[in-house]
Parts: sequence; structure tokens; C-alpha cells
Amino acid sequence: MLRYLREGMRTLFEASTGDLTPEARDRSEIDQDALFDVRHGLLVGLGNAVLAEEPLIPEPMVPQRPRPLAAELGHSSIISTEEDVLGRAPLPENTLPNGHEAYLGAITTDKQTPIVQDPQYDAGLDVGNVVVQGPWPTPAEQSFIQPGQKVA
Amino acid sequence: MFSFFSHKNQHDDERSTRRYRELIRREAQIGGELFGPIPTGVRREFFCLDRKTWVWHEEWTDKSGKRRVVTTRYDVRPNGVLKAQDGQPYRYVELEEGKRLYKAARMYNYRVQTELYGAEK
Repeated sequence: MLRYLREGMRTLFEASTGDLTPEARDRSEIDQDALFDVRHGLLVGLGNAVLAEEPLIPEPMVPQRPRPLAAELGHSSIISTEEDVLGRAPLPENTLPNGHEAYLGAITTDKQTPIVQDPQYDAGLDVGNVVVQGPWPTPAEQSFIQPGQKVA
Repeated sequence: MFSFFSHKNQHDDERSTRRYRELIRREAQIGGELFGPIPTGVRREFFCLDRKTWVWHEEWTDKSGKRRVVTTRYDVRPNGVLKAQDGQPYRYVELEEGKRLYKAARMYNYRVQTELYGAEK
């Protein structure tokens, strides 16, 4: 009983102060680092073409800290606190009046078909009306992640 | 006495692990919402497992009533991003998929940081 009370008090304290638990801080840092890693991997693997688009959303929370990615790529000149990660000025605030939700609404309006219909349907990682290519594998061909396996 | 501290440390570790997994579950839920409305009967999760691994998990029922599950894993390597899907060999993602993955990762990061970890918008 005391344990739950203590947990509850701690949660309230964290909520009131905005502090994060160590686990949350850890996740937060991983997520941000992972974004830069993805960018790095795609830059090397696919070149700049993959990033040659307007930013989808403003990035007001780009961490103000040295970016190992930029140093690794030798592209430190394209990274600036005044610009987004692509080296371009951020979109005006009124471009997305409601933040990313406006964009999310936009990308779902042109969706004419369900994302997933059946195993033959080329479905999946869908941002907009384009999806990852299938076809789905047959059950006999299993990879290291089994269907339904908990990966976390 | 030693047993008491040992037990406490184990308890703390378990609690920490539970919290961590709960955070991933909540991230996965947010990630699943990035791709538009989730149809009834479909379970969709998209999340960053660790800084080198992104997972997209989808469960649905096909027209014949059979439950389908597909887990796709993106492994970020120094020279590209490898994709592994149930039953298919590793392959590097191609341009269009790379674009979409990057978009999804950015949107995921934005929403998770602002909605879950309280980063200022």
C-alpha cells in the first residue's frame, strides 16, 4: 500500500514539475538520436534525394547541441540553429496553423482505399497515399522476428 | 540484510524495465496513428525500439477471416537502412520507401517528444 502511495506521490511530483523519470529521459534521447541516425543512414544509402523535400513540420525542438551526424558527414555548414536539419529556413508558423495535425489531415484526405485489405495488397508504411511494397511473405518463410513476437 | 538489498535492487530493476516498456508501448501507439485512421480490427504500431531499430507491426483480419500479422524491422546501419520483413531476406530500402520512413521518423519524433516527453512546441 505504501509503495503505491509513494509511486503516486512521485508521479504527481513529476507531473507538477515537468521532470522526467530516468527511463523517460533515456527514451527521449534515444528517439531524438534515432531520428538523426535514420537521416544519416538514408543520406549515405540513398543520397540527398531522400531528403530533398520541404520539411514536413517545423522543427522548433531540434536539439541545440553538437550534432555528431553533421560532423560525420562533413556537412556542418548545412546545420544551423537558424535553419532546419535540411539547411533550409523553417516554414512560417502560419503554414501549419495547428502544427502537425494539419499535415496529418492533409495526408489522409486523398486516401481512397483502406491501408490494409489482404496479404496481396501492397500495404504498409503509409505516409500519404504511397505504401511500402509487398507482397507479404508466406508463413513458411520466417525471419528472425516471428509474427506476434514481442520485440520490446 | 544482503538479501534484502539484493531483493530491492532486483525490484527496482524490474520496475525500471516495466516503465521503459510502457513508454515504448505508448510511443508505439502514437506511432501507429501517424499513417491515418486505423481501421476497425486493425492493430498498428510503429516505434523506435532503440536508436538503430524501427519496428512497424500490423495485425488485421483478411477477407477470409484469417488473422494476419506482419512485423517489419528497419535496421539503421552506417551505410544505409536495412529492411527485414517476416519471411523476407534483408534488403536495403529504396528511394521512395526511404523518403516515407524518414517522414514517419520525423513525425514520430515530433509527436512523441511533444506529447509524451513534454518538449516545448
